[in-house]
Amino acid sequence: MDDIHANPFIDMQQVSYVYTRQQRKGHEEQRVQALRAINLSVRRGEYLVVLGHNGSGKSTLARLCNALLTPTSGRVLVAGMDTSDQTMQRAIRDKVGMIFQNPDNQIIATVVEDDVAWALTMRGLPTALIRERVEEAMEAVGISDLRERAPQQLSGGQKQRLAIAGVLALRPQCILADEATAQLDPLSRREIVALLHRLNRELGLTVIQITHLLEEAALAARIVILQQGRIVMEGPPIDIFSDLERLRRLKLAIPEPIELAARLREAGFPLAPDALTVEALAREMAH
Amino acid sequence: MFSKISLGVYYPGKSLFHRLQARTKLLIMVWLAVVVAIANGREWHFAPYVVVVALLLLAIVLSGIPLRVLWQRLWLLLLLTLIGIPPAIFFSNVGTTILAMYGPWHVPYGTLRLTILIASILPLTYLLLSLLRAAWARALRRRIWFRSSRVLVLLLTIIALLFLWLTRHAPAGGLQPIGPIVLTYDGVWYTMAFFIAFLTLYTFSLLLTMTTSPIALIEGMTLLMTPLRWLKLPVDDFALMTLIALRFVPTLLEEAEQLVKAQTARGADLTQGTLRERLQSMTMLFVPFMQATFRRAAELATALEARGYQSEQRQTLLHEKTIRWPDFVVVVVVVGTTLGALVFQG
Amino acid sequence: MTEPIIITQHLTHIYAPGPQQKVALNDISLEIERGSCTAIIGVTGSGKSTLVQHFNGLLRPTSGRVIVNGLDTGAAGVDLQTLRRHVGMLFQFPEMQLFERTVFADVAFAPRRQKVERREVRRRVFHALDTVGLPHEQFAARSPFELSGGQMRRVALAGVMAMSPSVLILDEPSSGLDADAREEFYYYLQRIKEEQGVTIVLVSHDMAEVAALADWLCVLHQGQLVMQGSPRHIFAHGDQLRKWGLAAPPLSELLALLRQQGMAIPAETLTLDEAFALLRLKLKDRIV
Repeated sequence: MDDIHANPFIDMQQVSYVYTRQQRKGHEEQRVQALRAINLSVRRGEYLVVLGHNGSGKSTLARLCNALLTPTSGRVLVAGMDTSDQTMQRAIRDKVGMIFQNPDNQIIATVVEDDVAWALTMRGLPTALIRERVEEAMEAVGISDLRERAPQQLSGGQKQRLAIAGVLALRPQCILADEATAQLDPLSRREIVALLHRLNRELGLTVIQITHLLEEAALAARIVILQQGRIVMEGPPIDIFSDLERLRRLKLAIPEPIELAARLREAGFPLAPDALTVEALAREMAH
Repeated sequence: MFSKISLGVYYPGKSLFHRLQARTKLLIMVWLAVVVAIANGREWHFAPYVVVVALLLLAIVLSGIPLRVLWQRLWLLLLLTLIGIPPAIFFSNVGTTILAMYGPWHVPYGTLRLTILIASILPLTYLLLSLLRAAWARALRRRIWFRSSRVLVLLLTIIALLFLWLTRHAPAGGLQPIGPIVLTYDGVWYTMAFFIAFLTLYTFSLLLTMTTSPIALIEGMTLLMTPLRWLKLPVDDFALMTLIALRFVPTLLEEAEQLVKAQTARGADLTQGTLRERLQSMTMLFVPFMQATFRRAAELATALEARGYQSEQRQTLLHEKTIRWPDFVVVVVVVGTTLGALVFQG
Repeated sequence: MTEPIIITQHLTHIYAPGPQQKVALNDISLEIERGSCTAIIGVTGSGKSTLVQHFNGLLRPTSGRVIVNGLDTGAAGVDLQTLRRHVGMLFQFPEMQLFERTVFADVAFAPRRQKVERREVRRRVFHALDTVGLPHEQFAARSPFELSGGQMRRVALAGVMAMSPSVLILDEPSSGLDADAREEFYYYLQRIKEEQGVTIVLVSHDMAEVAALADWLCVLHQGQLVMQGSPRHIFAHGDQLRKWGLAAPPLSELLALLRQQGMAIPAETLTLDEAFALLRLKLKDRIV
């Protein structure tokens, strides 16, 4: 097994992040410590889910991974490149693409096709190459038949797929999804999570999904839970979901099927601990 | 609902005119404007105008846009132009050769004063209705036509009072001349030239926007502005700004509509209430909307940064391609015929 | 049996009538009982926002009738200001509509517009703030923009409650809130429903959220009312819901899967406790 610390794709070493917030009235500036001495390594090809409340520092963590923010102390290495190095920023953002919570505020062109191509046109690549990459990206997310549509004609889920295509066009090694499902309806949410898992499996893309919904973490390879800027829980879903009491104390909403399974286990029923999705639980309970 | 309004007037098609590059079309427009400006100075020289109109008609045919659609966009302007011609012709006292003259008419002051006196019934009733406390009067005051005519009545009253004041020393039998209305040779020419130029250039620009997608237009303008780049002007950023504006206008309209509904549901109303209330209603629409827009801009900026945006990048253009033979042919034809018409001494 | 507070009869709404028209609502007939909590469920574009905007006169029916508290909203000369006093509406992301310098001023906007007397305005504002869990002693003088997202949203809610409406319509009330803030919001909403007898209409695309609060669900799909009933009844039709772009709560889906695999589970099992009790019985022969 490769040593995660020897060759991580993203390596955060003792990372802290502090920002100052101006209160509206008066001249007092508030220093907010968003992250405290975070140590986190992400393996190539890993599917990592970062959970936490608003204010836990999860968005800050995401933005440190693609050099949108640079750490106040400590350092972040992406594929060996230090994010504080200004000259490397472009290269880092080529490797780590990001999609955001508000589906609208990341779409820039008036037509789907143009938006997927936008980042490529910004790099001055030749038209033929751009067309090829755009086709490829649209195929991968399944929006090829929407190519001529205007953004306002798309549903929330389609917009997020468009955003993912825009990221894929650059052939990144990692996708950061910053609460990308928060404003979507339940079915669209599942669709996007399934898409991210598929890209992770089929293209070997590292995926870091930031969310506040526990139920989206069931199929992750590893879960990291943040609270007030610190990592409070870390491990594979099996371990995390086995400590429901702790999760409740962290004020994370436990999905009802998981709760049900826990109660049944307590009552003595043998249900495999790795059954975390609705389908897996149904299979367990039926036999 | 608002998002369904298509921005601009782009009418997709595959005609020759559609396939011309945006740059070509823009350059032709500018050239025609220059030609018309030059031609305007040479009186009674019809050749350039004939050529321009002929080119326009040719362009309409080549664009493949059904006349019905064009008419829909032009009829209002044509109507306004027709209404505008008589005043322009009769009141532009230019030049010396007089073709016809009407008037002047002389009206005795006494008659005028009497007329004003009788007509003063209108503002007086208006004043009376504004002050009455009766319920029916109040209901009448709420009517929109009543409130809008307030300005007009006030204006007319002031003019009448001004007239009476200025002519207070004139004897009742004295004569106030009105007019005359003069039709001059030059006046006719200039009016005609102006209106033809206006209409043809407007129709051309309409054809331009109908056969060129907004993005192609932006890219065309960006390419044409290349010389400005050497002056260190932010041409690419300008193109990006225009693109973002185009992209977000429908979204912002929708958001504005939503905000209007939300505040209306709370009792805001721009058309009713005291002045202070109406001002407050405007604030409650304007302030949240601006805040939301700034927030949106900040989020978009972050997203752009994440996608690798750097200021002043040479970008690949997807819609404007290289200039091909149809563009050359069209430019040559246009420049040739118009120059020929300008120097034609028939 | 008192008359329903909102009735729609063959309500149809068409945007931009003509060759490019869009039929937003197609022949919708429903009734909302006084004091109940009804949820209108559907994906974006199903017409749910269009539907509820008829209840406070923001939109008029193209055909059909909408009767709110005995008042026909489509009739000529109907007094919309009075209607909006009785039917309060909170749009999505309501914190966006805050604009005043203090919380008090913003919440007081609606009653002041209604020309309510000053002392009464104070009373209403304080009461409204207390009802939504923002004690007026602490919050009335603060600027709304200093507050957290969840708090700002509750200020907006207080602003509507200050009108003392008999009907409260909320469009996607929890979108953008995290689990904590969401729980808080629904808690205060529940209190409003119980303590003040306000009729509540929720619009959402997430059924699981509204399951706890709603007595009655109306499902819209492409402008039509395709199903209505109690949450229990609706959640049992998981496959059908999926066709309409909706998902039943995960627990109902689990039970549906178990049913598919042969377990006899009554279709209208809803809560976690019920499911637990049931499965315990069914699986008792497997206890280790």
